[in-house]
Amino acid sequence: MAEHASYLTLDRMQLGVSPPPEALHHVSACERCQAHVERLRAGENGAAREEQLPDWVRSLSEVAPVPSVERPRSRGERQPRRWLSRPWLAAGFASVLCAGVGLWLGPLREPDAQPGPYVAAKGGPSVGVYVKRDGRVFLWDRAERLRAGDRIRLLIAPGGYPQVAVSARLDTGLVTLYRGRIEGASELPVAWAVDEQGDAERLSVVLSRGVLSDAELARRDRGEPLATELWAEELVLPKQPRQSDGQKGSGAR
Amino acid sequence: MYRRYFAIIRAKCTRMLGDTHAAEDVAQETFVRLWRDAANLGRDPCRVSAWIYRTATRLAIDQLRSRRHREAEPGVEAVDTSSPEVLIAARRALVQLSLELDPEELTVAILSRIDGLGQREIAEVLNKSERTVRRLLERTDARLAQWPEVAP
Repeated sequence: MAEHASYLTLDRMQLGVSPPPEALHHVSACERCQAHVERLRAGENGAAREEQLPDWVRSLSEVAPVPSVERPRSRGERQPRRWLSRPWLAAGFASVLCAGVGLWLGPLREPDAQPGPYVAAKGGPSVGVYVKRDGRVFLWDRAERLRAGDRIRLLIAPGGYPQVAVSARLDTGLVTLYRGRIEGASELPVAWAVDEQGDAERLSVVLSRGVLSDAELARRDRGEPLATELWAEELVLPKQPRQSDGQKGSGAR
Repeated sequence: MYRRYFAIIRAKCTRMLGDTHAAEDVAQETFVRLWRDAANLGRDPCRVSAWIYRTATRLAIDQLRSRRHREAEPGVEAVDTSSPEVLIAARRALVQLSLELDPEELTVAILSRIDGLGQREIAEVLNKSERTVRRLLERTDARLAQWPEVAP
């Protein structure tokens, strides 16, 4: 792959098209590429919120209705809301977060943790994270700390593994947040809200050849071998300190 | 559609033309054509973005050829803020190249050197085979060797 992702790849990321794993891995660590995507999002968000349509665009609207263009969906994927431009709903089982799972990202890492959510061999599986805050969506740069109210969505390049399971690591044990089939690099059709509970949370992302039950995920977590081939990534997610006890929330908004 | 695509179109045109007025004109023309062809293009953003790159590049080439007696104007904020001087120099070179290269070669040069597209992406945007694109790139690279401003 070239030194930087092409502008076509970056523009398509802005449009919701999942990039190749190599591009995803590069963009996650490249300020220039991230800056381009951010400028596009700023332009789109600005046009959506503040700018009025130019007269020449209005004149087009008067002639014909606006056609809609949607991002491609992989086979079998549920149709998610376009979270870049509409109110965004989490899937039903994401309500697990209402029990107090807070998720965040930041530069703090446990000594034995992976260096970041984008560590992957070229062409292998990788995990990226989109963050939605105040109507703005950006790719996590491993420096931004998440805040209560942020919503995150995982972008996963499965590297050939057909099954994915995402779990939250709580004091009580591992809680499965999402499990499903994945085809090609894509965003999961669910997202999670960040709350103020706790000072750090962990997500476990497991890609596997076969479907893994909760019991199997727990066994893997204990270090026990499983029959199916798998790949796993632990995301260490620090978050901003709680502002005050009075602002303590009950979980996901 | 404007909110979704125009920032992309404008950024593309600014990369190629630098001058904000010319870039805005080409961006507007590109969007108007997109609006007209939207029903034929369908909903696939990959297809739409490839169309944008192809159409905006060709309209920009028309704009560049009309500048053959003027140089590209400096001082425009570059999209690539990490190397504005390089990008401005590349734009100036493109004005000269628009006189030297045929439209097909110039299109490939812009997609490759300005937009950073690889061979496969260029083939997708131009609806050509990768073999054809490879030959065009080889021919264009030989011509561009004398213009280091647009060297990869």
